[in-house]
Amino acid sequence: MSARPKLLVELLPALAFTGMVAAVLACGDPQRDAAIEALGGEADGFGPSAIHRPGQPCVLCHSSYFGAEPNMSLAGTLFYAPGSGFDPFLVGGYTVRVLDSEGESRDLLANRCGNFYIEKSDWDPAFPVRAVLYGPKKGEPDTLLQLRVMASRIGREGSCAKCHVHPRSLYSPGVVHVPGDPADFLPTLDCPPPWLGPNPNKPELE
Amino acid sequence: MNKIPMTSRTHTVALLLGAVTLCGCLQDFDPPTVIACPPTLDFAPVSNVLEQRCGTIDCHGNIARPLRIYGFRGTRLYDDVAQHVDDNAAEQAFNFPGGRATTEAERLANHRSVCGLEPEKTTLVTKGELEPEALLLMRKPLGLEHHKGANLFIKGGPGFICVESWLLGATDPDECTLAVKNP
Repeated sequence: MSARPKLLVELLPALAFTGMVAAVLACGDPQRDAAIEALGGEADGFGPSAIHRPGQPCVLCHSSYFGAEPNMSLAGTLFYAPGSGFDPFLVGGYTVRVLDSEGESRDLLANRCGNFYIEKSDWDPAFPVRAVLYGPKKGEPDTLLQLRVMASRIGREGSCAKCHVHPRSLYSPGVVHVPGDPADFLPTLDCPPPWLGPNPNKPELE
Repeated sequence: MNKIPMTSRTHTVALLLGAVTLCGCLQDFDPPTVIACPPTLDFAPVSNVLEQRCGTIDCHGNIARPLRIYGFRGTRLYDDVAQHVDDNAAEQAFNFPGGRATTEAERLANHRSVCGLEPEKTTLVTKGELEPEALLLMRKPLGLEHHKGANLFIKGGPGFICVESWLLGATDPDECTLAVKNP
């Protein structure tokens, strides 16, 4: 046997091992990858920031899986939903209070484009958690009033938009929204258009 | 291309094969297996607990789960396929999560889902030949087996007693109510 084939034979186990390691490292989560891909790119004129991609399932990317910074434990977007037949629009300035199973709670303030979140390094809540929406009292902005209590608990999902998808259907209660008189709300300016994508929980009928 | 000549032997083999195939269809399939499961009559309070603790859209209130729980707090069961196709139809029927109260049809679907998760073992539990804790329905929320939703029952707690009592044939509605009130 010549020297070259002999060398190949000797290297074969190492090559096989390297190949296996590469194959394992390349294994992602195809379902999650497809969900991220379906979100598309940034809206024109808006780069990554605290106001980007309103309405999208934030933790899909802001997680240890995808690696977008910051890593978030809970995140969502707040809307005003004018009713059936109308698209909801973004609202800010309201507070989502989250209470976890160990009795810890945090207030998440929706920014001017409706996005609210908490970083995992600040708080990694014990699921299931409860969520309650608070808003400023009319004429007394420092006084918070309880506006709405989420009907169910959040079992384990960090992205509100994973379940809260527009429009309301058998498979979604609709976007996270502030109740109230339409006259009290004005569409937010200088925000990316909200993502009102298809409901990932809606099955295809066979 | 040359055609292969069909000899009388080939004909005979083909006929025999055909006859065997036809005879194979003469016998009926086995009758469906009948499973035993605690009755639906006492299931409503148990369904309430399962809907609250397990049935959110991010967990078992999602049609992707083998144990599928319908109801007020999760995915809704449609009365009419139009509600699946047209979201407005669901909206008009108030049939969305957080909309109308859980219906009898949804409770029945939950009962089927629970009974069908491990039908053979559930049959044994119903006959008193196996402990309720042998079922995934109990093992998962107790944390005895890996569960993404973590521990949702404490042994001896109201949620545990509610589901266990139903499996043993005598639902304890007070414990079920307590479990819903103090999740």
